[in-house]
Amino acid sequence: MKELSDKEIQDLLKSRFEDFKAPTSGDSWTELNAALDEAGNQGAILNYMKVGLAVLVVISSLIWFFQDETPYQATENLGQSNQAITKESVGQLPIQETPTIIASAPIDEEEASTPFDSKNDPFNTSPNQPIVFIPIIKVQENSSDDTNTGTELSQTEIESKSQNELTNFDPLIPSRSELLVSISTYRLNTDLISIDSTKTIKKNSELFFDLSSFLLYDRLLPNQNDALFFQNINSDLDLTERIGFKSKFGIVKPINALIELEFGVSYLLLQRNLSYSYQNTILDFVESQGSTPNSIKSETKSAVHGLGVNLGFQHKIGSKPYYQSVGLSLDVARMLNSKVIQIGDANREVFAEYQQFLNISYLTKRNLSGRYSLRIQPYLTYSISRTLPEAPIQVKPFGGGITIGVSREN
Amino acid sequence: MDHMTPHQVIAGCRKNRRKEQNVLHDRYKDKVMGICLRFARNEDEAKDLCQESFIKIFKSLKSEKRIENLESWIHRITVNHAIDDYNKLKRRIDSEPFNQEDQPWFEDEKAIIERLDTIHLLEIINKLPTGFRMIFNLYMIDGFSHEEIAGKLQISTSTSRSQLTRAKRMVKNELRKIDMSYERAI
Repeated sequence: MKELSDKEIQDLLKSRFEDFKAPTSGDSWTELNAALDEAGNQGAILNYMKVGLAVLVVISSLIWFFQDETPYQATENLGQSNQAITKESVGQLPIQETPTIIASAPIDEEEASTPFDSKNDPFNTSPNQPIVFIPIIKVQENSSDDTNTGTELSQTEIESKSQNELTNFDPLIPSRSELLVSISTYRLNTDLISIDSTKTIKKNSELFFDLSSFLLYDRLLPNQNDALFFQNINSDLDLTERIGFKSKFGIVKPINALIELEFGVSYLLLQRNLSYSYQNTILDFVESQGSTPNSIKSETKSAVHGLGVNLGFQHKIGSKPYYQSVGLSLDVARMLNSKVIQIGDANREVFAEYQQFLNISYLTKRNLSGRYSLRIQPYLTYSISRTLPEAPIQVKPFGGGITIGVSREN
Repeated sequence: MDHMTPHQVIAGCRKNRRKEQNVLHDRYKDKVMGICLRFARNEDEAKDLCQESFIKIFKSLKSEKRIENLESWIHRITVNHAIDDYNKLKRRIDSEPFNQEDQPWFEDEKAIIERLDTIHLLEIINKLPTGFRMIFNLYMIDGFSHEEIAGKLQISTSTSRSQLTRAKRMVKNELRKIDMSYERAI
């Protein structure tokens, strides 16, 4: 009996099933319609949640950004006979130009029970409500360095300072250099007012402009859930053909002594040259290629550019002799043009329209002059993507590069 | 309503308009059901698969920028959804090696296939265990290679090969049974 190859039976079965149609029940559209409504509702809820979250983040950021930086906040009602401590009431006080000692100092128990002279008391809200300081030890000095190093004063030194000097201390004094004032508990003796404990005054946001160049080393793998089966993807061409550029403008805002929040907008240029082969796994496409169902070799050059936003934070790891920090940030970019590979009835973009990146960086700054600093920031980038809407999110290495920029302290 | 061009239908579906979605469903429901019947164990499962495939088709239409051949695109989405559905249920394919050699097809088997109508062929395929049926469909009808099947079903190529060998044996047995009953009837 004559033997046949798989191919002959394959062709026979394909031809039998190619145009095979099975009648469906009449109510199939009704059921589908209901399912579509349900799916739509779920999607809408998810979208509302996303929008809500985005709005929450923006509002929180704005509140944080424009918040009053005074460390004094009345958290309770003051009662009828008392007046709230507000920025306005304190802000009318004389402002000292350049403080040298900017911290509080301890007051022993004996002192603590002694009412302040209300004339010298910057927090005096009522002559009948003397303020009592609770003992504090730490005193910090104004410093031109990025991170102020507190200077511990001995008890004797502190005691030798006049009460007048202590009471002249005004934590609201605006300073051009970065100040850190640790304010310990202030408490009014009426117990009617409680004031936030240990709070840091945040100063000096920075504007920056960065330029960076990076190498795309992301490895493209065949998309296994796709009818276009890519094979032998070779992106190891000339390295100069896989370089990207990014320029970024943004603002850095310190949250506390160690953490800084960074927000920026960026322009992105991505380039990639690929050589690859592919084949379509769908029957009719293979047939449309005649007798050549094998892989088709191709090469494409692509350059896309886009705009993005960046949100991240830096964690200081040192300040001597130079500022150093490590950072984590998230980039979301929308490509303004697209590079599409078109094969048969299918289109595939070399770069997706929306790109999400996670960046891990090390930043060091060198003082240039006055308020300007040079920023040098090597980094690694990971792409955040998924092949299908329902597929899990994948974080894959995307590239690495170096940023050089300038920052200006406000 | 049915006089709409494919472009109009696609444009309406992208806007999530029920009218165009209904037209597209009407035009391709039997075709999609035909594919789903090959992959599903029974008609009920095929109906579910068919409905889910259409939901996926409508979703994918929004992101697919250019579709030249709508029918083949729908075919592809449906097959991919059948694979996803299979993977989602985590049906395990027996990876035990099958030592018996692959047997070739013979001319009489081809003749039986030619003689049978598609519904009977479908019945034979549906008798296969789920994993075998999946691999038999993908390899023998949808034209996937073992490497592609291995990738899609997350199995090794040797597992794909051995499972296909076993599936083919089962199909051949069924074909012979049908042939014997056919001869007896004559």
